[in-house]
Amino acid sequence: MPQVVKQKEFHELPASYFHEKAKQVNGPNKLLVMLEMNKYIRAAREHGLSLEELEKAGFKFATLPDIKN
Amino acid sequence: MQPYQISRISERSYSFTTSKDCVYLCYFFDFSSVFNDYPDLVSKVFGFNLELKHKPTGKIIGLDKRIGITVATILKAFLHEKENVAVYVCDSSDNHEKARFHKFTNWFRMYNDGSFIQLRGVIRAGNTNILNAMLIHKENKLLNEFIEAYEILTGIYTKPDDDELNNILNDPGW
Repeated sequence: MPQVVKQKEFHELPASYFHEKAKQVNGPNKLLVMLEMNKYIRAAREHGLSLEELEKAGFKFATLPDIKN
Repeated sequence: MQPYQISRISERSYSFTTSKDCVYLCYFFDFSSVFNDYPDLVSKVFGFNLELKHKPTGKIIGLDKRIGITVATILKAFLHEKENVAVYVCDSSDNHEKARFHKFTNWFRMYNDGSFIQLRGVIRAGNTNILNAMLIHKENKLLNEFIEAYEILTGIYTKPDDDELNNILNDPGW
């Protein structure tokens, strides 16, 4: 019988979910929420979401300067 | 040693390809929620991510020192304007956080020309230590404010509340 490999489900979340969560905690716990947000961004990228799609969900990214090689 | 050729592939990300055909992507994401008690700092804090986008199959990658100098070049360019700071938080879910943190902080130390400060911290969460670092230009106008905020946020010291501060200030014996 062929084995069925289930792909892990990925639930999309808006950036506001993490920002609201961070508001409700203090000090080092805020960093933990940001770590969770970072994990989410990485997971979203692994699931094929582009930075532009993440921006549509409210995540912000820095505008980068040119680098002269 | 020269960094790899860095391409700005959009306003939001850089990419570089190593001699072993590994493709990396770098970007800086909004980290403001951590600093939302500090209105002057809040818009200037970004987390740093380095993603391995492509790894050739069947090739042994090995140690590549040029990746370090390339990442340091990207970070220095980002901090060069003396406004923004970059925070690096190590994911501990794969138990490789110590090695990752050591590698990252060493890269920055090795290729720092003395213009940048690296603050390192550990947050205890249950049985896990979350390693993190903040990178900032020495001439950043808000340097002291960033250092104080970072030390409070990472729990190095606790800021006294207003009542406690008033008691200290009004205590003639202090």
